[in-house]
Amino acid sequence: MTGLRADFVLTQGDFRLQVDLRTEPGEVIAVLGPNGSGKSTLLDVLAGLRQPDSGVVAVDGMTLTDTAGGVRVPPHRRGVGLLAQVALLFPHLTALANVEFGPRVQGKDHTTARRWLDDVGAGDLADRRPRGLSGGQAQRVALARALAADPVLLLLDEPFAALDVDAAPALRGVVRRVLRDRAAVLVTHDPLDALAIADRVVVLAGGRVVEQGPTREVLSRPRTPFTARVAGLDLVAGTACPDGLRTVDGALIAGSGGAEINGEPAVAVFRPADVAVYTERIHGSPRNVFEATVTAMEPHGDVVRIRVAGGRPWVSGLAADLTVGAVAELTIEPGSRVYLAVKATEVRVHPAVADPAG
Amino acid sequence: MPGVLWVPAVLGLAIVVLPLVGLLVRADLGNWVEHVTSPGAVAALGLSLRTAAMSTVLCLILGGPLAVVLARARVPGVRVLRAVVLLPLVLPPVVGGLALLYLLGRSGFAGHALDLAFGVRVPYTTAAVVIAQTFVAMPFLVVGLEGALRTAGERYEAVAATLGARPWTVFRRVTVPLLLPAIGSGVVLSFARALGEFGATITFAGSLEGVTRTLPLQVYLLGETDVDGAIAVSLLLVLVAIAVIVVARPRAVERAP
Amino acid sequence: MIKAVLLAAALLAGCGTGAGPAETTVTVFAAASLTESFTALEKGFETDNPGVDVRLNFAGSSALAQQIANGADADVFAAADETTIARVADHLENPAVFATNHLTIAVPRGNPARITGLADLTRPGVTVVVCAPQVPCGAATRKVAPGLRPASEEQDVKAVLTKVAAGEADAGLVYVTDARSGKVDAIDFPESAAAVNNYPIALTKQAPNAPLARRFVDLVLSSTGQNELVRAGFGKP
Repeated sequence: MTGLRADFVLTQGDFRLQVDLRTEPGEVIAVLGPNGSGKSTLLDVLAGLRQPDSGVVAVDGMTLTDTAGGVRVPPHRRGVGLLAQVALLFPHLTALANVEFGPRVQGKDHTTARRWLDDVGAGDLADRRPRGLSGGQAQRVALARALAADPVLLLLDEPFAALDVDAAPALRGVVRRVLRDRAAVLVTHDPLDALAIADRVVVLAGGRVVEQGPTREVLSRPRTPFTARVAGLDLVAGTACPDGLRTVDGALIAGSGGAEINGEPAVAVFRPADVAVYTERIHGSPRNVFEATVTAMEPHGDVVRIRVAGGRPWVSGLAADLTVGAVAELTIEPGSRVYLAVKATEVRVHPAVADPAG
Repeated sequence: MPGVLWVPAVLGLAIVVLPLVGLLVRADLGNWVEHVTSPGAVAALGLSLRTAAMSTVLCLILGGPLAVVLARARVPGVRVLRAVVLLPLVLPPVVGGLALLYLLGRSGFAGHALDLAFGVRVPYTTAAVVIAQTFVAMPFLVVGLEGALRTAGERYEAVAATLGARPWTVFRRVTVPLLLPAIGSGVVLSFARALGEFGATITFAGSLEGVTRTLPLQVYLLGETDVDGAIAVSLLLVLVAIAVIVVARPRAVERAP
Repeated sequence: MIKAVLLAAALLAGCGTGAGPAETTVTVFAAASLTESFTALEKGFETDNPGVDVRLNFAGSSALAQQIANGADADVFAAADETTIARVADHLENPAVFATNHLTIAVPRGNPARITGLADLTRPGVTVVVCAPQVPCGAATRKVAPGLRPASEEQDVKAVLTKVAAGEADAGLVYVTDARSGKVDAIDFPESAAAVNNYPIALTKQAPNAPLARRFVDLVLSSTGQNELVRAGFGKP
């Protein structure tokens, strides 16, 4: 039994999209990449809205597209659901009727619709028209609608991008919950979405997969400069606590966002640019300080990114960006002992997909 | 908005409004009822309403699908077709009438075949009036619907398909309901255009009371002999047109973004 | 911009009759059936009167009468019937009859429906097109063939003729003169004598160029004019 398999080539003008994806059943895969990298085209092919020039798309062993074998299952018979950036609720139907749409047109029991609305926290919106809903509310209803159609694969195309800062985290939590045991492809340009929701990440650039692997690995240890640019973040795994995050070995990473998800698996996230580097221990400021050894230095745009290893296992792989002047002043080089410091205000604690590796 | 725009704006408004004022001033309002209840006027009004309603229905059941095909079909040449559909909008209706005559008239190839096969002769019949009106009115509906379809995009339809709806279901339950406002204004515009149709009708269908002489043809005929009657019937036409616009307009304004 | 204004001014001047060129212009409103004969007379008149420009405006008599009633600048009005000219009598000097005309049956060339007379027009399956009773040719039609059931009552003779010539009608009732275009065949019928149309001609009271206009009317009434009219198929008054 396989999950999603998509191995195809599609050319449009001088743009060429070539992907080869494989996932386990029930796995959520995040496709990360800048605008124009081919993310939406990938989703169109999976949904059957566009036909690749050559290749195969299969979900759970069922072939949906096979150009060589002449297979082209139309969108309505694929069982591939779609949640787009904007909710696209049918404006002439109430929220409940929108959710009932899938089961109805498939001739299935549509009384499940209300349950799905409740499940996404939109039960009280059932009789409202889309016109009267906020972006976040509409997106919840759209999620319920997609789920009520019982898709074997759910496609999410930047589902949080159009929401305001208050609505996005709440919906992210809902999506995270409903996708727990469901195959899905999440397209996003925000690595935090991937972190919160996806088991695996695929990084797409210029129509090609430049990197793929387990989410945290790809995001924290990007192997290509490109991935580092779109997704290069410092991540520390652990469990959320009111003050931030508690690592597996009991250390506290002070940060915000932990209280709401107290006790859940989480990652503390901060940017390499927000990490200060010292050659001597510092005291007395509300900072997280990690002792480490410089393992590598690489130019990264107009800064130098240094990577470190340390006594504690989670310190290894953290990165910090320094100006060339600062590097010279500090006289650091691979093998130097350094102290990395990051303010608690720069650290966000995010829910994360539980990492079996710890 | 620059204030200077008021000058041409007011002139533009005057060009629209003043002629109607002229009609009203010249009208023999005292005998208006008498004029518009004359047998000729009553027959023309009845015929006009009947034929305009029929051609509007034809526009809808033929032009609606045509708009969908033009907006959605991915076939080569669709752009050319789109231009062709617009032709009646820019052609003088008389040319349209001649074209219809040489298609469906006795000497026209289709008309000749119809006559031989079924003994059907189209010119000089009420059907000819309906065809002429449909010819000139259909582009209004097609253009409006096609524009609305393009604006709405295919995203709703794509979502409906991913929910498991087959194409016909998508059309019925998503495309058509989304288009209702545009269908409404398209129907009103087509009806109004059909009601005012003159050139194609007189060329193709002729002019006979109760059969092919619609209100505009009645006005034209009276214009040469009975000016008061012509003005009275013209006012009637203006009233019907205003009624049509009043019925449709508020909805159109409401939908405006 | 200036150019546009000048152009507009020139156009306006051209429309008027008070300015320079108008002194050598005679404007004649004539029934459409007079197109051929009056065009021929115009040439002769202009040759005999160098520098004079005759402007001919051909249309249905009723339409022309309407324009004259609305103040159009005409020097001469030649109509296809006396009823029409009577309607604008206030605007005209005393009219004189200069020609007569009568109806004939126009059929498409070769006469496919084999029409031989008025009786054939009421045969089932024969499509007949006539003038509306409100216009002179229609009034004459009603007089000679009251029981006719036409497929269409057209606005003027030319519209009837067009439909017959195009083969869209088996027959149409038009004036003898109109049937001589060569595009149709004409079948004369004796009943037409019941409705002979007198063509009156008159100067308008406001004729901007009365002396010249009178010379044109005289030409129409002269033997030269009469010969031209007979050549076009008109009868003598």
